[in-house]
Amino acid sequence: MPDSGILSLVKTAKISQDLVQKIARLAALNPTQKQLQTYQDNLDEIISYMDEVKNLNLESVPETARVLEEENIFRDDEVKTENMFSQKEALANASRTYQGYFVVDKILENKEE
Amino acid sequence: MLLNKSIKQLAELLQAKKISSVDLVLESLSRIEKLNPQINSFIKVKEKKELLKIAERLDQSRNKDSSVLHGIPFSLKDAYITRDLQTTAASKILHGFTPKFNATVYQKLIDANSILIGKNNMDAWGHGASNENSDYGAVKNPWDLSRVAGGSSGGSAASIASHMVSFAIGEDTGGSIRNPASFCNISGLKVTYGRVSRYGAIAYASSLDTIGPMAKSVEDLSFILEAIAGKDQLDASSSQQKVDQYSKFLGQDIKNKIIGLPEEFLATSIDPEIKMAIEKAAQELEKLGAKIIPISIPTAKKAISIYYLIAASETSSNLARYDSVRYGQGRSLFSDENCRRIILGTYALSAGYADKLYKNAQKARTLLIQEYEAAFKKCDVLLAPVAPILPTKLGELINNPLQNMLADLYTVTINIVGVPSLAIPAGFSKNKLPIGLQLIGKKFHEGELLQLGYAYQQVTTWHQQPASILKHAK
Repeated sequence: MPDSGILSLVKTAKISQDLVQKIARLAALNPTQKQLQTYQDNLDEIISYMDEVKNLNLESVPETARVLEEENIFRDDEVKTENMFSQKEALANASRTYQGYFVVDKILENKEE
Repeated sequence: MLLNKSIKQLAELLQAKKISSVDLVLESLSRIEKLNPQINSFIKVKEKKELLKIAERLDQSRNKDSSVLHGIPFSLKDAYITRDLQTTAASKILHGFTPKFNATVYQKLIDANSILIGKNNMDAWGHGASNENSDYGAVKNPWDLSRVAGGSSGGSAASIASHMVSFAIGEDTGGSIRNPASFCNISGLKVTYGRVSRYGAIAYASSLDTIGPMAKSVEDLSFILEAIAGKDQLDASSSQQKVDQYSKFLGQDIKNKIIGLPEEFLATSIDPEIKMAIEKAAQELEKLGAKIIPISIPTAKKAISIYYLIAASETSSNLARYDSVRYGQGRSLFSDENCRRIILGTYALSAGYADKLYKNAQKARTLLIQEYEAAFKKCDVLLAPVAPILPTKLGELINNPLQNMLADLYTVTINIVGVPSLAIPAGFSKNKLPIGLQLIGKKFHEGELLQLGYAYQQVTTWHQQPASILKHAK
């Protein structure tokens, strides 16, 4: 196993269980208490390891988001029927539909309710 | 037995009408029936009746102008969208999902008249280097059933190694083609970012994902790449660079090619048997006229952190679309490994942490690009091991998330930089486990990698060794 020695060096908690729970909620995940504990342990170890990126001398280095050198890729603005879904095809894999629409959960509460 | 032969040999036999595509399909299905219960490399196999109908039609339509891939059976990693055929990314979230369009890579292969046999098992959403993180069960290594096949394209590698199909298409985001190719003793090519269209590929990390061929030899890879590479109007990130005739590079001598050996890839606690195999491979290439020089890529030591910060950030965004509205089931079906990566990525992108984590990783990405550019001023290609470890026992990696990530140490920098890398067999450990090497090239220099890999495979026989399961199956 490579670099396993580094794991024993880090034991201070970098990420609390509350924070893991908060992030999970942001990502629309709903872990059980047991999973939260496991994720906290795992992520603590992983994030401690990743602290090494802070030690690189990066001050004057620009960020890279993509490696392609091509820019401004355009295509003609025309309808291509062969790449279009019919309404039936678009809805084919939806678990809930209603009269040709996707059904989603309500996310806004009515004040009076 | 037919599927032990190369694509070129099969195409010649098919042309001469000595064999038929019906024979190939029947052999493929019978081997899958016999070995898949042990290997678990397929999530979905197409109906026999439908496959035979396709094979019969292709046998009839074959003529002297037919593509070399005409009537050849292959499989796809289940990360590719296939019209009216279940596509899952090995996650229960997509169980039963039957897409209504085709991925470009699949469309190109059926346009070349290849026969899709089925969809391969993988680490769910590409998250893993062992193929144990699949909701459809782990893939077992055809060389040792108690060991992993590697990941995330483990099902594709194991299917080729056990001669269930002639070739397969994998996806490589941080080593997912090369790692299982190395663990299963097959050949796999991670292409330059943008060389093959990603349209219809289920995204893991969009700035790193690449689509490439997996097969028994470098020669096979060159034919497949010719069929799948090129600009696609449906993927703006696919490159307009001209597609080479890759098979023309095969057989050209490699005299005076300069091969760099990056010291960082042999220094960190690498398995000594792997290190030895790479050094022997370097000598072999030297005998063929290549020159070996030492190279340094200092930031490669931090590759795992840089890669996982970027990959996790991008995957947290890509997997946000699985909300069970348009397709798929609810998010509670993400595996622990999926959840860890989504949470890690969300954390790395969140206010207060993004500057220190995500942005630093993006800057470190620039450093790596600069270091590779400097290296390629001194040499034509780089030679490195694929993995620092031999195929692990089932259960070893999946239960240790950080160790699971560290298995990618030698493969991830290539994706961060966007260059191509060819993984080929380079020997065996004392207990007969496969070892792989990778040849890393300049952007769009796939032809040069295939040229070198082909030359190496002309003087070595590692890639011709049949997996243990095939010997036992007779």
